[in-house]
Amino acid sequence: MTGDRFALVGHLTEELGKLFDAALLVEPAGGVNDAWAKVLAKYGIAPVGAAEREATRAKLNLARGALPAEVAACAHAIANQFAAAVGDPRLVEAATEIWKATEGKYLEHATWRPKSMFAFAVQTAKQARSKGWQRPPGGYVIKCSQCGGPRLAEELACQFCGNEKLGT
Amino acid sequence: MTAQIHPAYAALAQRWSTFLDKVRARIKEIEGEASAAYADVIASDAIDGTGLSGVSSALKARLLQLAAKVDDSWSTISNEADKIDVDDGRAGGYFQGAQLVLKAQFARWLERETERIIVTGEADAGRALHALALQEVGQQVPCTQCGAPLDRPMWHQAVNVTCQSCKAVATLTPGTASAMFTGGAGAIWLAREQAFGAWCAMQEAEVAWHKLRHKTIDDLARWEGATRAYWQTYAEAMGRLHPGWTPKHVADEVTGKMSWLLQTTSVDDRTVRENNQGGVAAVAAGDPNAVVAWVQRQRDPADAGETLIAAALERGWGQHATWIAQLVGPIVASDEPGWAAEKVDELTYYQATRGD
Repeated sequence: MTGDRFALVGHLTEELGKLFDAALLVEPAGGVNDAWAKVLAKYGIAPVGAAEREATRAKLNLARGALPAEVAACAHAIANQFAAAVGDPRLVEAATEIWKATEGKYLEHATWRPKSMFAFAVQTAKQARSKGWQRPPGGYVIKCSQCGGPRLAEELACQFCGNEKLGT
Repeated sequence: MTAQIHPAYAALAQRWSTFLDKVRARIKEIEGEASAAYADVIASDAIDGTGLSGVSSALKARLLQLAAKVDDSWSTISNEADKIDVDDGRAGGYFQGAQLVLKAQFARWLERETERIIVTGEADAGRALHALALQEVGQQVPCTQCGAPLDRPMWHQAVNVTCQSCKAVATLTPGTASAMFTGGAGAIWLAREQAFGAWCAMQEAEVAWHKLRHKTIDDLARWEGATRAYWQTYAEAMGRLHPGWTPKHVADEVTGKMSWLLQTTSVDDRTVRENNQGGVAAVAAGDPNAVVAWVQRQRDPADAGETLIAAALERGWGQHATWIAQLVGPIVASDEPGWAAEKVDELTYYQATRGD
């Protein structure tokens, strides 16, 4: 690959990087804010319809960022522009490959949520450490350590052998 | 006490109000997360309180953080307000006083919400624990000597019983759920839930008490009454929930909880409060002769007149304040014809800028 071609791929990658950064900054999740509307307009991409937008946002459980379909369309448009500029249609294919490789990472970032402040407490309860020490109501009769006779009165002295203290 | 906000401060006032609304909305979201976490913990293990107290601690810590954020934001607003230059020298004071009132109201709301969310979550856990404890109540315990079923006279604590079959003395122990419900916090949180309304009333009474600079015996009685009502409600609820809480236990609890207040605040400055009572009661009765007589009885009538005007203003009796000033002016400042109007104006401004 010549130096010019290296530079070209570098520019393409840079442009796509800017696109992904802009896409991840979109709030509310899956929406179209002013900045994203400008990006879509710049690449001539029509925004996804409201119903489909809402369904996709819910399905992907996005926490932030533009819809992946819109990002993919923009990436494709960028590649087309580059391909047209240099007369090499393989760039379109290259951009498609880049998006395929990036989509998973993009979704990972777009769906990431901070851990709940209660996560540790809930996890503690789920470990159910207490099960080992939970007991049903019970009862026991102390026996004399000397003769084995049962306790027959509130006093702890054995009434069978006279041992002063029952138990072990 | 409200005053018109100078237009120069309107944008700041709006910003402050919007910020407080946002924090309130965030607290509602946190409540939703907390409710889900309490439900998760209870479903996992209703007996072990470790996860439960973890949720309450995390919640409290988060809400304290938000309260601190409100304090920080107020500092920013206040500093910006200080930089605004307006012709009316009192405009800044009125603005800051009014916004501080909003801040104090927010702080009290947050305190109440924190209590409500925690009490609700912990009480839900208490109910789950109680249900498990009741299952234990129905369980039979056999004598380890002869195997005959033993009568259990109480389910919440260890007790010795004589086996009716073999006459051996058996020591019966409660199940873990029963012991945790009565010996741990289960019953306590249910009682706190039942007494939550009285708790709110007690908090309001305490705030009202601390806001008054010129307190009377009646004011004290209102705070004492609200405090007693809370502890009585709580202790009676415990009496219904906890088999070990006898009527005497309930009464002792109330006596014990009231003792600190009765031995400290209730006896502090008693003479001053009794004296204030006379003046404020004369104002409340609308009796001019009694008001004048009270002022004349004081060692420093001018100071006493001011006290009475301020006492009326802080109770929201604005018209009474003017009336008192007109009655007292000729006695304490006969050589100053504008004394009454000036005094009311000065004390009204002070009241509006207190920020509580």
